Amino acid sequence: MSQAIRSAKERALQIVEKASRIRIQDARDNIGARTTGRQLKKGHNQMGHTQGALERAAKPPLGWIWGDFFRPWQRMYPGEKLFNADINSRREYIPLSLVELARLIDLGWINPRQPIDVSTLCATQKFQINPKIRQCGFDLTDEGADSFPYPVDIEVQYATQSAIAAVEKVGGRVRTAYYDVESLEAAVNPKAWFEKGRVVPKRKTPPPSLMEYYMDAKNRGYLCEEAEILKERQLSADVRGYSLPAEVKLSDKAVDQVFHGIPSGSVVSLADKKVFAPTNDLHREYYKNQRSDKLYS
Amino acid sequence: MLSRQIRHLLISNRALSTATSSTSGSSSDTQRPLWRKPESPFVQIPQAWVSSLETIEDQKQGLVDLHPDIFRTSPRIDILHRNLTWQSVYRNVQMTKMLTKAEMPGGGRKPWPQKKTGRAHVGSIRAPQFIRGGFANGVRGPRTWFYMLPDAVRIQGLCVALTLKHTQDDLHIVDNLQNLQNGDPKFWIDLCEARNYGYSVLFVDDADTVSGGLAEAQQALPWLNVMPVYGLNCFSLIKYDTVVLSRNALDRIEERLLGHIHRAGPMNKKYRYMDYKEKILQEAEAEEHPHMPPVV
Repeated sequence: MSQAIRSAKERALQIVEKASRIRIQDARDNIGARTTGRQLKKGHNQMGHTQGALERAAKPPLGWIWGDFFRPWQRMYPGEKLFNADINSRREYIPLSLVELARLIDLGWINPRQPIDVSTLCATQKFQINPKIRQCGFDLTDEGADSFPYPVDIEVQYATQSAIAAVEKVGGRVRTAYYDVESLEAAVNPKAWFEKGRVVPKRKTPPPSLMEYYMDAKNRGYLCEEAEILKERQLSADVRGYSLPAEVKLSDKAVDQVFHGIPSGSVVSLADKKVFAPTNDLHREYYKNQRSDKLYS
Repeated sequence: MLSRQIRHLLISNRALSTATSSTSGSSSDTQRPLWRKPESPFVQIPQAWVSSLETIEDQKQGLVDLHPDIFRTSPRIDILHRNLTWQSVYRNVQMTKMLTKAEMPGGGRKPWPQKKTGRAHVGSIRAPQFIRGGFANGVRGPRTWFYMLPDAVRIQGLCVALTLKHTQDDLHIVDNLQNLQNGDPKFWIDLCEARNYGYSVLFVDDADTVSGGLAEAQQALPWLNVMPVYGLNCFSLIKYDTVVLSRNALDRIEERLLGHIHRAGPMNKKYRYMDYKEKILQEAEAEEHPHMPPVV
């Protein structure tokens, strides 16, 4: 009890207990919570007669640092031309460190006994992914790799080898998998997707430039053989010096599947809580075929 | 369990007196699991007696655990103040509209020549310097003071109000509010007097409508009011001296508030008129009242 009374909240509540009944007129703001704006003195705004004069005054052109207006920074130092040359085409991955993942699990936002993928991570509403601006998913980084305690089954789009090793050390499982723009959009906000009545898309195979990454067992890519992954797993344990516990495998997704348990090509009705699979042969044929994502090579 | 009871009773001295005066029927404790109960050793679990409204005397039926995140939060009076201010201000609309020179009738003709009359140079009899002229910089309604408090502040405000009521022993839990036997106003006056309910009482129930004795008493006694759970707000909680919750209402309040406290996503949702226009304009469509037609 003494411990409870020591907290500031309990002390405040003790005062409230002894006080008379709190009425509407007793409610008031904290002292200094609202301040009126400071009055401008004569000394202020000396660079112009009024604020408007400052706003409408001629300003130096963008990039001007010194001297001539026709020699802005970007012309004085043209070596920076290629600094962000690929900004309109490069892929962006949202970094997800192992510390953040452990914290999300600690706080109850993620269930470690269920497989974790883009939909799980986005359902916490802690991350924003916009596939339309070439954000391609999550990058599992190794911050907090020393003390990651949860054997999780996680699917990300990019992972460093030390992060993979940290998860595998405690018996977890990492897979890197590619989501094309449409399927990532579905995975990021499934509710909106289902409410629109859109068909659950088929995950396309990665573009040529990414094929190598996802076929490499070192990266635990989803396109390579299971035997190779097992070999690499053992190899990384030997190199890094830890013993491999039994792997936790919660569930497996097909190569072209977006959601666990929902085959691609089906329509989900949230009102009826039902999944409707296609019956037309043409549609089935379409969703059976492998397709390559040629949008971003 | 016993130690917790004793601990709580020691803290609340007024509860001590009620506990000692209660009958030995407290063995039928209405224990219930609390969702996401904080694990901190500093948190103590608030409790309340459950009684019945069938008799004038307060006959305890058992104790019920309340959620500390709702009924034992920090007494943030400033958050309460923000809620009360918002509730009184957001619905204000100023309909005054002072007419400008252009909106007044007439005044198109120049009243007298510009020069050589010895009078002021004016162009219109509705100029602002004229008596019966238009107004410059007047009040130009309709003006609204509408704004939305962030969700977090509104949720915390409700928790603070409930905490204050519980801490000051003005929050009572009863088993049932529906279909009570006695609707005699004298009975209810005596009941509130015997239980020290104060000058005004608010009953909160889970259901939309109330029937039976409480409904009759509520018609007769203006200081006695009934409210559904979805109507619960800071102003009413503070305005009424005593708040009486039914067990169903208690469960519902905890479920709703905890759901919002622990929800994912931002707590400062934008409430734009354009998003809610259709809903607001159709709000009163189903309402039919001969004397008070809905105003939208």
